[in-house]
Amino acid sequence: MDLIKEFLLESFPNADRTGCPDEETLLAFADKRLPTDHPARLHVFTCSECFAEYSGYCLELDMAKKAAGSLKTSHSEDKVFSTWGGVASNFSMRYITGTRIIKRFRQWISAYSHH
Amino acid sequence: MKKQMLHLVGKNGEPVSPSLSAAVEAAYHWAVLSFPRVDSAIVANMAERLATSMHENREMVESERRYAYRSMKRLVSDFVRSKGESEIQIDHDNSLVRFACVTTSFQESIDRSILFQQLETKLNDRDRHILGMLWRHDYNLAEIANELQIDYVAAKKAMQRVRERVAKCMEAAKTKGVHVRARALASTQDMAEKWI
Repeated sequence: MDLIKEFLLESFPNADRTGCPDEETLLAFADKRLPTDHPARLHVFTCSECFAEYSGYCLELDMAKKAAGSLKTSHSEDKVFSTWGGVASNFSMRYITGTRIIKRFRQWISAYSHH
Repeated sequence: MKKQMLHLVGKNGEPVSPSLSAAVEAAYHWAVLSFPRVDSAIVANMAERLATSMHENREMVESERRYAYRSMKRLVSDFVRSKGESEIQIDHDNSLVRFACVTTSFQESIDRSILFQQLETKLNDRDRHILGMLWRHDYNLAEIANELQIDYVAAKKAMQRVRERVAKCMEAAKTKGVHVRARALASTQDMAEKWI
C-alpha cells in the first residue's frame, strides 16, 4: 500500500486548503463516526493535505486501540494474579510452591491477629 | 517501531507545552511511517525545529495538531524533492546518500510522477475513496458497500474495477520501463490480490 499512500499524499496538493473540512470532521472520519453521505469523505481522497491529516489521525487511533488492548490484557493478568496458580506463575514458580506461600502468609496473618 | 525521544524545547531551551509536544510527536511518528525512505533522525531533527518554531509562534497557531501534520508533510516532502533533484554524488556507490535518504534519484521521481499522473487520470473520486478504505485495512466488503451506499455485489464489482484500473497503470508503467520501487509495487499488488 506504500505506493497508494504516496499517490494520495503527493498527487493532490492543496496548499490553500480550499474546501477542507475541520479537524473534528477528519477525526470523526478516521474514527468511522462520520455519516456516509458526508462530503468530506470524498474530499479527503482528493486533497493531499487532508489525507495527510486523516492518515495521521488513523495512526493515532490505531495506537490508542493497541494501548487499550494491552491495558486490557494486563488487567486480565491481574485477575490471574489473584488466583494462587496465577501468583505461582507470576513468580515463575510451580503451582504447589505458590499455594504453599499463600498458606504461610495466611498462617502469619492469623498468628499476628491472635497475638 | 522503536520509540525515539524528541527534545522539544523553545528557542531559549524552555520546554514546550504538553499539547504542542503531543502534536509534534504524533506528526513525527506519522512522518516516519509515511516516508520510510527518509532517515528517522532527519525527521526527528525536522520535528524538533518545528516544535521550536510552533512554540515561538504559538499565538498564531490555531490547532496545534493540524499545524504539526501539515508542516511535517511539507517539510519531509520538500526534503525528498530537493534530495531527488540535487542528486549529489558523495562517493562511488553513493552509499551515504542511500543511507541518509535512500536513492530518490531524479529519474525515479520523474517516473513516479508519470505513474501518479496515470493513476490520477484513470481513477475517479469514488475509486480513490475505495482505495483509501482499502489502505486502512480494517474495512471489510460490507462496510465498503455501506460507505458507498451500494449493495454488496455492486461494491465487489466497484472494487474489481479499481483493481483493474490500478493494474492497467502498473502494467503500462512496467512496459514503458518506468522505475518504481519493487517493494512499493509488490505491496500494491499484494493489496489488490488480498482485498479484491
